[in-house]
Amino acid sequence: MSLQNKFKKFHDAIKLGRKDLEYTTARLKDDSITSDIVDRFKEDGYPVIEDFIQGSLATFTGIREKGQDFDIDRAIVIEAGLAPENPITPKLAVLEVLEERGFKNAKIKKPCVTADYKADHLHIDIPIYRKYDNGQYELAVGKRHSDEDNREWARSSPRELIDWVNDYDSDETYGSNKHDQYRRVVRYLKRWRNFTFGDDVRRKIHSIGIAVMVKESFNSSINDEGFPDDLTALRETINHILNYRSYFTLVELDKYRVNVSLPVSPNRDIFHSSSVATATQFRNKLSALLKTLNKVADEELESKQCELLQSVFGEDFPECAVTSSTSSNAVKTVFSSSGVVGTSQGA
Amino acid sequence: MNYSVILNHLNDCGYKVSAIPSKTEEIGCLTVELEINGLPVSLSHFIVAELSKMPSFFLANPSAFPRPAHTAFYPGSLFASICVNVPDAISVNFERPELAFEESLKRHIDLINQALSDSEWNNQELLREFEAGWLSIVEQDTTPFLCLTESEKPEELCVLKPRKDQLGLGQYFLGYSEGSVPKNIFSPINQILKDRKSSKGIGFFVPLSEAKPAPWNKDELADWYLNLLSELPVDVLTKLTQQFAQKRSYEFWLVFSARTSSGITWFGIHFSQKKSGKGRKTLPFKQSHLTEWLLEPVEVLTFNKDRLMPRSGAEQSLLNKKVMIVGCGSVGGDVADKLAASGVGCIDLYDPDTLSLNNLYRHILPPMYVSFHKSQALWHSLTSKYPWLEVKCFTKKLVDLRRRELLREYDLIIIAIGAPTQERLFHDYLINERINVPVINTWVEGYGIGGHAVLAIPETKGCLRCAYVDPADFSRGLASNLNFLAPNQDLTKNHAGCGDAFLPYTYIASTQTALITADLSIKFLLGKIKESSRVSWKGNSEDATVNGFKLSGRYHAFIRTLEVLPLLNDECDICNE
Repeated sequence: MSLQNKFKKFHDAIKLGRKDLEYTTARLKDDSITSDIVDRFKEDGYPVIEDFIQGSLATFTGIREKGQDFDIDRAIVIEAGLAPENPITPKLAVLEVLEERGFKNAKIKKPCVTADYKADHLHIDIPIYRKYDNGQYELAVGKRHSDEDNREWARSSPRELIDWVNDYDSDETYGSNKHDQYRRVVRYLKRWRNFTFGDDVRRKIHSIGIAVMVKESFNSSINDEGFPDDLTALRETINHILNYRSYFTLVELDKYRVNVSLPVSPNRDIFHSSSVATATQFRNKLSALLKTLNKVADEELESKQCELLQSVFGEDFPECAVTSSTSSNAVKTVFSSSGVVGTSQGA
Repeated sequence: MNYSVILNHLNDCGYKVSAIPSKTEEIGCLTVELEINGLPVSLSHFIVAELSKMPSFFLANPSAFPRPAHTAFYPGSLFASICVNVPDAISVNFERPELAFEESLKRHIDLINQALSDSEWNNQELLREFEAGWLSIVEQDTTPFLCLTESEKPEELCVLKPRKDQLGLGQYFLGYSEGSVPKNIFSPINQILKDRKSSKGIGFFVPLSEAKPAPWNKDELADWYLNLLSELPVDVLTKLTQQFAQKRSYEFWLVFSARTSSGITWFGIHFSQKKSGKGRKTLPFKQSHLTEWLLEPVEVLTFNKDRLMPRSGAEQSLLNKKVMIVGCGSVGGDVADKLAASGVGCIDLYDPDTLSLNNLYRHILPPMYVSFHKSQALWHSLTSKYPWLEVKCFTKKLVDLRRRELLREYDLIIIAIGAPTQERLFHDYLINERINVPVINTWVEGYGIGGHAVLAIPETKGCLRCAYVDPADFSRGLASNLNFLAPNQDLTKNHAGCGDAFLPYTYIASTQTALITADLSIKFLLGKIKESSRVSWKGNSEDATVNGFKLSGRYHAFIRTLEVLPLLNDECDICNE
């Protein structure tokens, strides 16, 4: 079995999509909560004009983790003209909706309203936006008791961000294959982050930060027949992140700061709240990851390759038999899922 | 051409050149006076209107010299021509002719100088160029003599004279010794033998142990012949003078073969009686008898594979190779022709289809074969084209050829049917039954977009399935991942409903595909390719795009047209078992 096939299996094991079976409960819950919020906001005089999924499920870069909650990241949008002056008002309404539905731990955080539903392993984030006729969004920012100085409708471009991540040139050769590879690389790095860092640091290495860095630094690796080489793409992309961009800046000897600007207005720094300690760990471990991946590329024994990859990605990366890569363990034959395919072949 | 400039230039170069006027021109001829090896030598150039070849100089009064190699002259002529180069092997500066004259003169002088001063070299050259020397005395309108005998002993020959109005090989004299012509001789010759059965003449074949220089001019032929007889080994001479001399005729052909440093050379002399009224006579062996005969030098050709195959670009080592070609359409038919032309000795053709007028332009076969099975028509066509080729034809389909014992007979199987389903079924059979026979699958794509050939050599990495992996999920692809057109498009056209649907591609496209296939085949059969390989050629996308068809990603990414690339695909489930 090729290493790429192992990466494929790894990806199959970690990827999470909104239509996945495991996500069914979350999706149904999401739909039902959204429906309740729509009703409530209508009653309150600022009807919901749109709602959309945000985050990794919207950019198809979600991953699953054993023992971790499924995220619901649902943006609720109201018309700017009807929106209450105080951004906390609609957030309180959402809080009430959640509490009425039995969420005990629902709370208003600075960018959104959150709640956990332990029985179903759900974590819910609901940001509220108001939207102007010109298409500009503003996010309701502030906690429950924030005073005027600490609450605001803050300019934001949530749709643009999703579009930016999802955008690719379909006219480019293997454009969609390259974009698929991009998403896989983001997922690999997210799994690496979750596997490598403790809870505190992990939370501060934001997924959107990884998605933006990878997108801006991406080096695809697809051969001329469309077969991907994820190891090469991953190595070259990490190398680019570390050595050809200025995300990590040296602040003193061996200490770094990380700065990744959002690619959409108002282009705030995704890592503005990250400490030097977080940034330094992030950079050093990313550098160590690259070294390991380079070793994998130089290694001839497939079993050793898999061992190295498991050391950075965890056990979801498949095991390999202890044989050389030239006589690797058998590939399970996968037959085409099409009954018939039209071909251009003649003689 | 301005000969004054040339004249001045050559004189400036230090040559002693003078111009001689002709009746119509101020300068009709240039003469160069030299002294070579103590002998006065005069070279002459007769003016030409333009330089379409290197300017030539003639040796004046050739009889005054010992015979120099690379010269020829007609009896009674005052000049001998000098051959200093192969005409097409040079490109002449006609824009500055004086430089071409300078170079040409230098080469002429160098040659004459070497010929007159180095007798050993001169003799070797006279022998090496025997054939050229012989042909220089053969009259231009003399009919060549094709000798079918390749014996090493003296033999009597039956000579078949050409009939009037015959073309090609039919206009040659044909000579063979009784019983020496194999039954399966090349069909066009067989046909001539049949046609001319009744018109036999008499000839003799005499092998010589070594050659001596050809006569310098035709006048010397009789003496040259007598001298040759005097040097024959006793047993050969005895056979000639006693056995052959029993025959009487108004004319004889004597055919000789002799070894030279450039190989075995063949030549002949035609003897015809000056006065036929005196009755038939025996072949003359003496000066006194020769006076009654007219001797004419003849060009002799042989039907010899050791000579003709390499000379015409075929590889003799392929004669013992046996190839199965399944599919005799535009691609397969052309592959068969190209393999035969390369020297492959044994080809079995399989195709259940018949040739129709719809095949006319892109098929190698002419319309005279319409309604014939393609394999049978191809058999007929190849048999009359390639002398040492053994062809058989069959009408079975690929799926009916899943027979171990049959398949193991072949050095190579070429599948050119453009039907991926049957090709994959056949491949499964080979894999499951562990039949280790090398196979090439080849196909052309529509609209001139390209073509492919995939060579799977058993015991090496790579198989047909390596070209049928779906890059999206590494599953077994139903269409090849080598294709330049995206799958699932209705590419066929039809003029008369379902039964008439066809994939549009041109003769150029099928020929190009046949070419990469034949090239891959020959390189494999010659042992130059030892690993499973693939080759693609990529054409222009204009026709496909204009017709609204989508190209594959590979079309855009592929830049290695005609390169032989490794076949192994890391994602192939069979090769990575």
